[in-house]
Amino acid sequence: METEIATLIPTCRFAAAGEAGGVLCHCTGVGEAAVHEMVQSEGVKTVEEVMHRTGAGTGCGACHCRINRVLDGLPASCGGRFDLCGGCGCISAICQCVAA
Amino acid sequence: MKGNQEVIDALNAGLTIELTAINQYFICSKMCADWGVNKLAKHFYAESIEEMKHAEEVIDRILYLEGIPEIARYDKILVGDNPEQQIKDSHTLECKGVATYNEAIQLCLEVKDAGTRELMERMVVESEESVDWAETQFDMIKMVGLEKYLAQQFGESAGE
Repeated sequence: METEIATLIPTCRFAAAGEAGGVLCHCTGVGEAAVHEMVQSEGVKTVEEVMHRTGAGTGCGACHCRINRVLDGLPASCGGRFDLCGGCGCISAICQCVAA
Repeated sequence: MKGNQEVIDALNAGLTIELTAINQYFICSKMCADWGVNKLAKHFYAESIEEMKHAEEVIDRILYLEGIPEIARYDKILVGDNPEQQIKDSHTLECKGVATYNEAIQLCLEVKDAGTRELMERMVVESEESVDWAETQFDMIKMVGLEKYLAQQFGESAGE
């Protein structure tokens, strides 16, 4: 039983799940790279369009500020000291891991 | 009341730890109950409920400050395959909580948000108590050995 459960454990939820930038919307699992790509290639300009096309932002809504940053051509993360490290999950102010 | 965005980010960082802890303690409780380590199961169950109450307070504060709670964001949920590892994993998570809230308290002092600071200070104290509990278990295991320690943890009641 223990082994079965252990194999089901996902990797860190905000770690880069195979794509640059990591997860932007934690409700749907849509990554920053997917939203960035849509903005670049299809000229998407509003949060509503991103929501409609990718599903990102259709859950709790906490990622809308990150979507707005990508729409403005910025990284989704604001780079503050309470951003979470994709490697260890610590806030950046205390993170000492190699992923920082 | 409109709050400082960095304070809201700090509260959300704390909320991520609380939400992770709810789930981590809960599965550990259920696994310990399955193994018959009932006293430990009961402890983990109580911790899980306590973390839910913490999450409630943090969410209430974020909403009060007109922020959006990050309710879908979790840290890695560590599920140890034996009781000793589960205690180590809970120690790791609680230490992260202490460090995060201490950093957040510093921010609250800087931006003069005494209300959030008061909440964070209570969270730190309770996380420290959980860290201390885990360290006490490590001491006991070292003193009497893992087998004798576990023998003390069987108990009668289930994890809820």
